[in-house]
Amino acid sequence: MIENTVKRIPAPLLLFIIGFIVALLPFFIIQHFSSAKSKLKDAYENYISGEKAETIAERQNAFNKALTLYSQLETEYQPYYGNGKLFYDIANTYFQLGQYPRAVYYYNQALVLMPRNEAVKQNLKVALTKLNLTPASDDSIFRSIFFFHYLLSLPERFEAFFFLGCLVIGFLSAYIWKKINWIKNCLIVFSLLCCIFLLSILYSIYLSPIEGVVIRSTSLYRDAGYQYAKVQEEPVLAGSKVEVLGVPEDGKWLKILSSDGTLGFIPGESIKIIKS
Amino acid sequence: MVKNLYFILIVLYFPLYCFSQDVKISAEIDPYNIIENRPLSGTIEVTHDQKIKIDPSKFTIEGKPLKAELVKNVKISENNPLIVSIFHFELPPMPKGLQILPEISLTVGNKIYKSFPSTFEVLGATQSNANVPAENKPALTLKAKVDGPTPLYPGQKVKLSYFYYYSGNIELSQEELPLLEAKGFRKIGEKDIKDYEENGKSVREISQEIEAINPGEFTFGKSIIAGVAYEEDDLGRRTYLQSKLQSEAPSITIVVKPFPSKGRPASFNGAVGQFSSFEAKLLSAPEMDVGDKISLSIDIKGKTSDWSRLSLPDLCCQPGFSGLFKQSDIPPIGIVQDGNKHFEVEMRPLSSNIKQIPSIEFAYFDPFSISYKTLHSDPIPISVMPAPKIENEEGKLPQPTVYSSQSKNPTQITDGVHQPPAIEIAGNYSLSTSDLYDYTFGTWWVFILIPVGVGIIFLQLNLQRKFMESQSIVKSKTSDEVFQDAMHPISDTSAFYRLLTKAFLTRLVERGEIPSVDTSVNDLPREGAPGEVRSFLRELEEKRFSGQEETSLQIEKEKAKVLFEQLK
Repeated sequence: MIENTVKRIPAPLLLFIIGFIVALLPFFIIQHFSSAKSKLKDAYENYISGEKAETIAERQNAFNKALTLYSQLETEYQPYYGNGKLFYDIANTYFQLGQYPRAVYYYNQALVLMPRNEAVKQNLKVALTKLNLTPASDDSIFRSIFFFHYLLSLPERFEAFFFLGCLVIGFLSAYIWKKINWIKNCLIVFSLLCCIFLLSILYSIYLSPIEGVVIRSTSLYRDAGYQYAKVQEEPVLAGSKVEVLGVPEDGKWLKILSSDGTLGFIPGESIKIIKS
Repeated sequence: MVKNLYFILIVLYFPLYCFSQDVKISAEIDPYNIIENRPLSGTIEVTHDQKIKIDPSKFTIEGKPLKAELVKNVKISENNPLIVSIFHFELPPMPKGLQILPEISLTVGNKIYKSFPSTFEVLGATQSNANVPAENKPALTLKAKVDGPTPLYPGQKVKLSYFYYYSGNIELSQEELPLLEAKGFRKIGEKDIKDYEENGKSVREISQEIEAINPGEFTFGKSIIAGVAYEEDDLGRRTYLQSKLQSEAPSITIVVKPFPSKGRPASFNGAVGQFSSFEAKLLSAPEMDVGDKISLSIDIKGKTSDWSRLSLPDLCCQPGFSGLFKQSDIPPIGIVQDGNKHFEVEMRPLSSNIKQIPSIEFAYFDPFSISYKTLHSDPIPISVMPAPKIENEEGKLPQPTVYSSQSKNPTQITDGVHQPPAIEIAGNYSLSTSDLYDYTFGTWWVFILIPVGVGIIFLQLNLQRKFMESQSIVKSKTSDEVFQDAMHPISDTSAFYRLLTKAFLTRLVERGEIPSVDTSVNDLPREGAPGEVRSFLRELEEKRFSGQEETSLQIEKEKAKVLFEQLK
């Protein structure tokens, strides 16, 4: 009798599976019939034309058109939980137009979503070289221990959490009906992995520092306003990656910690925040 | 005697009669407008109980209807039911001299109420304000003023103002104000008009800010205003009092001097004022390559009448810039902040021989010392390297890499200024629409798995518990079935005794003799069927432990069968 019952799939679990499949359907439909295809095609073609251009004017013109289309797509879709390729393409386009600070910003934005992509890292290095800036070193003991946190982007960790969570639910459900040791062992392992990814996600959301890239060189001020004294004579150079510590009430100035550890305020329009 | 008595009674009674009247009426001519050949306006006041409605069409004068209009009703006090209704009426013009206003009658219901007649003097037209004190007579005076630096130079601003000093009400019929037209100058904003009181007179100030454009002498002819004084009654009707009032302001000449040509610096571009500092700072890195962008911030501090006209000197023409730096095509836009104008300038070095950004000269004209002055920024040392070589980590130049998007790229172009430089980075991805969307399970919504998962687990636990409960109510074997099991040949004699005991106890439970099969044999009652079972099972127990179980097993089975049959 007990064996017969185990063979039956519990109704709530069945409902969950059906609901899950139905929820996925719209995503596939929307993707298939998207009208962004033509814009993507035009943008790519313009970029290629820019690379092949024989005069500066032609190149500028082509890259500007490509950038306009890419920017429209970025504004419309805002794929901050996507694969990051759009941001990489935008960064390349800015680079080709000589806008290296903005290129650095978009390379960093792409790196958040494609942390293992060597092309992004290499292009970022070239852009920083153009600005006479030294790329920050990535080696630390935390990176070695928590390698998965740095090697996987936040969306990838969300996906890992989701699939591990489904496995945990599945194994736990099976263990409820069949008390078998190997099911229990698998449950423990997957639960542990699921918790690790959950903690990693929560750290990224709540505890990891907010970073930004300075897109226009500016002096570092003691407080939020031009009337205050400067912290140092040397300005914060465009292309520098800084940590954003806070935003005063009016939102026009940001409190930052520069790469050399100097604290100060810069105007909001001279920095772009990396959305992670 | 009787007549005296009547007189006393009338004297005493009449005031009482007056006070006791429910409607009282009084009328008078308005004293401010009694001029011959002009209609006379007057006021009737009717004091009455608020419950009594006064009909304006019921007024009569000398037996003829008098047209009156209600002006307002005034309540005497909160607790008093009496109100005063004020009516306005007009009479035809009367000749000059002493006149009588006859009694005016008012019919309310069946009663007629009358006002007392009164006298008034009608004045001639030329005597209308003869009795008005001199200081209250209407007056009009015009003054013109120019506020600003003198002498004036092109680009400087001044404020032109007219002041109307007047008393009483004046209707202007003529205004010629050539200063406000400001021909030859540029007007800044709209006219500003202010009205205020000063030394007992009303003042209207009209001002306009202007800016000098070209040098020269600009004369603005005399200014004139003219009008007529009037008085206004309660209904807003005007009465014009005397002949025309007029005032003139003399002509004004504004001189705009040209900038002196002697000593004019080559970098002068029209800045006028007094400036204290001119600083240039480098915003980009001091090390750069040929063609890289340099950002400079330039701050000019001081005083000037018009910051918006202050512009940067042309850097391309300054010593040390021409041929060595390429300026941006877009002119820098300055930001004005409290006595300071801030510019950001972009330029590109054209040669690796450049060692510094040269000193920049800023020239301005000081109108106070009537001389040109210059300020210089400090030179800024920079280091310009030739076009960069991109090396890999081994310090070697990389082999040419053909990216798929660059397979048809022309060969390397060496001149980095006039032709596009070589591509230094990997090419773009060819994106599809899926690259524009977030990962399906890569966003926040996956957290819904937690409550859903918890719900599923709880449901299953609940389900399992109910299932187990239903399973626990399993149909147990009957006593006959257990007895049959015991009677089967069993190698394990202890199992036989256990099954036999269970069979008898189950039988007793079925008979209702004992509550449960878990009852111990020793706890069975000694009487009746339970007593027989107790005795039998105890006897079996004794034989079992005395070592006689093997020989008497079959006999005991027979005995058990008999006893079991008896217990049915």
